[in-house]
Amino acid sequence: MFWPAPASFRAQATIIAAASLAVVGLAGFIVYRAIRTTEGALVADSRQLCISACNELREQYEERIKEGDLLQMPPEAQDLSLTGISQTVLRTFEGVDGGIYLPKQDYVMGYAAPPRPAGPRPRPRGPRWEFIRSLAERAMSSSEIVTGERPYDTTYLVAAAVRSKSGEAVIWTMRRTLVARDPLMEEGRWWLAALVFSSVLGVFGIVSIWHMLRSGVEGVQRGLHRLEDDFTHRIPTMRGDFGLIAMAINRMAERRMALEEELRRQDRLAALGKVVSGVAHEVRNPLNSMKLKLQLLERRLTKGIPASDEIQEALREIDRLDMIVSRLLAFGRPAILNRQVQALQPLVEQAIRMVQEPAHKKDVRFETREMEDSLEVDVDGPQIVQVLINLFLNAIDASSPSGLVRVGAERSNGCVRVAVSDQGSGIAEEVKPHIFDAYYTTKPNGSGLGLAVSREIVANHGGRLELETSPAGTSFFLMLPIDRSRPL
Amino acid sequence: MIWVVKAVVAVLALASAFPGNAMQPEARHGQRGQRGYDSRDWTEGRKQEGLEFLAKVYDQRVKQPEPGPENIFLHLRASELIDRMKQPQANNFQFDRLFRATDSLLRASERIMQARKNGSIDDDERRDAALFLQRCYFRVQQAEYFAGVSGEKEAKQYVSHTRGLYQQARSAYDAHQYSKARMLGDASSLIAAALENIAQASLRIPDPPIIK
Repeated sequence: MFWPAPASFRAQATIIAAASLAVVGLAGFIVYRAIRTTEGALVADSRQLCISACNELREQYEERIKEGDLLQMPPEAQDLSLTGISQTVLRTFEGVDGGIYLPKQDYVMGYAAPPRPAGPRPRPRGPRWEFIRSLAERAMSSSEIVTGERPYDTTYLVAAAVRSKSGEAVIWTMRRTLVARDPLMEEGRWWLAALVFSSVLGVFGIVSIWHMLRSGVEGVQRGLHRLEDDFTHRIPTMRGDFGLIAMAINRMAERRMALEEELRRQDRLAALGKVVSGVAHEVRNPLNSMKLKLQLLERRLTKGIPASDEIQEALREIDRLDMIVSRLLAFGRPAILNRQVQALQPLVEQAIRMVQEPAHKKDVRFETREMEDSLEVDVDGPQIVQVLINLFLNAIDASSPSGLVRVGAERSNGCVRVAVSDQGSGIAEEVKPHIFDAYYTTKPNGSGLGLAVSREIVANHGGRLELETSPAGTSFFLMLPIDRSRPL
Repeated sequence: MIWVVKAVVAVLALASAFPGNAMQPEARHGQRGQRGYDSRDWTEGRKQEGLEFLAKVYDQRVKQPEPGPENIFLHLRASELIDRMKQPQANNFQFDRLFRATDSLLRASERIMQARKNGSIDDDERRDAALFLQRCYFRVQQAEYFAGVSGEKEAKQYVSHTRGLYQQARSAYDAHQYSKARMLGDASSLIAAALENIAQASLRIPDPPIIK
């Protein structure tokens, strides 16, 4: 290719249609030129030549009549004089013959014809004579010059006639136009007509194909766009190859839906397994501790030693079990939001206050960027505070001693975006995909529910929780919609 | 004032060429009305009158000094035609045509002589002269055809003189000698007309029967 082909199907189809129309136009032009240069032009030229010759012949005839003696002569002498006029006039008009028709006598006088190799042309008779006679009859009833043409053998006869001033004669001229009915030209015209017909047929076919392709491509495009949003949508049935494509796409969609369902089922099983193992792990520790305390209590009671400490320890472990079960229930229970529009900054400040103790222990400082007073969010305040606390605790854990956690907020694309960035060593690539999974944790004492719960809360608010991580640190982005009716 | 004098002279000159006995064809046609060629008009007496008239005019032309090559040719041809008219086998139609042809030749001779005398320049006649020469040109072109069908031995010379006179007329026109141009052009036309009449005379057209 010497130039870049247009990528869009519509542009390609338009170019093909334009090229086809150009072919038809060209064929039409060729036919027009062929007809124009053969029949039309030649007949027109002959007609003009006959008119000019007829006018000139009439003028000279009238001049001769003025001399007075012509009409009193015997016919033979008249014929000779008039032939002298016709010969002289018509020799300057190539291929034109003519004479003076006398309607009363039904006779032609002064006939002159151009010289030809086969000898002198005979006076008109048969169809030529009938043609001249009919034209002369028209001329007798008209004050203007009249013209006519008719096929004759392999030629066209073109003639002009005009009545003399006195009305006793009709001056006529005639020319045979050879090319128009030439058999080769006739054959050529048939070929040209076939060319035009096939061109029109071709264009019709191309337009039909173009229309079919266009509707097919548009149908598939529409179906694919719908499928992006709604995988239950199916492309309507179509005829031909596009129907097969649509069926294939529909089959793919169905298979994908089945696969996704299978994946979801496996995810659910995997998640359940994680939860079960997490719960088992969480529950086993206090149970072991309680078992040890109860065994110790039994020995002490046997020996009569007071054992209030062991009882207190066992009760704390029971409380811990209760807390684990409560958090587990909270994670599984559908959240009930009590949303109201409120300023973001107090929520951030409250969360920071709640994590002051662990931060102080690790000497981690919080740096809060200045927030706009008008930065308001439509949220359930305590739940968002819980999310922020989780994010801050993670940031403190990730930070090195005397580290810095930056907190900022801004309005962006219909949402409020809160960024929490630490200066830790980042999150490993293999950990990153599971960071929001329930009971997944890399901390020795972590429950594995913090980020999972946080993401659940944010999702319930119509927002998103995202992260960016690098060896220089990790940033969590809490994005909350400004308008609750337009979730992110 | 000068052109008035010239016009009078020209009228007198033309009048001298057509004597008052009304034997010239145009006058006869006007009188007879319907059939100018009517052979019944050429009775033996009128034929004799016609021959005498032509002989008289011929004598006048021949006596002109320094006739020039065209006039010598025309006078010779006129003499031959008069002789043919006298032959007994010439019927009335042929006599009529030959009379007209001879008359045309002698009038052409007269025009040539007048043209030689007239060399004045007259711008006023330019347009008329142009139209007249246009008509003459067409007659000159016809001469070739009539020469071909006339069967005359001197046909080529007729055509040659016709063309030559027309060329002289064109030269006079270019020199603004419009009266001279008209006369020379008329002479060329008259020779062509003579050829036409001679050609018609060659046709075998029997005289209509005389109804008594």
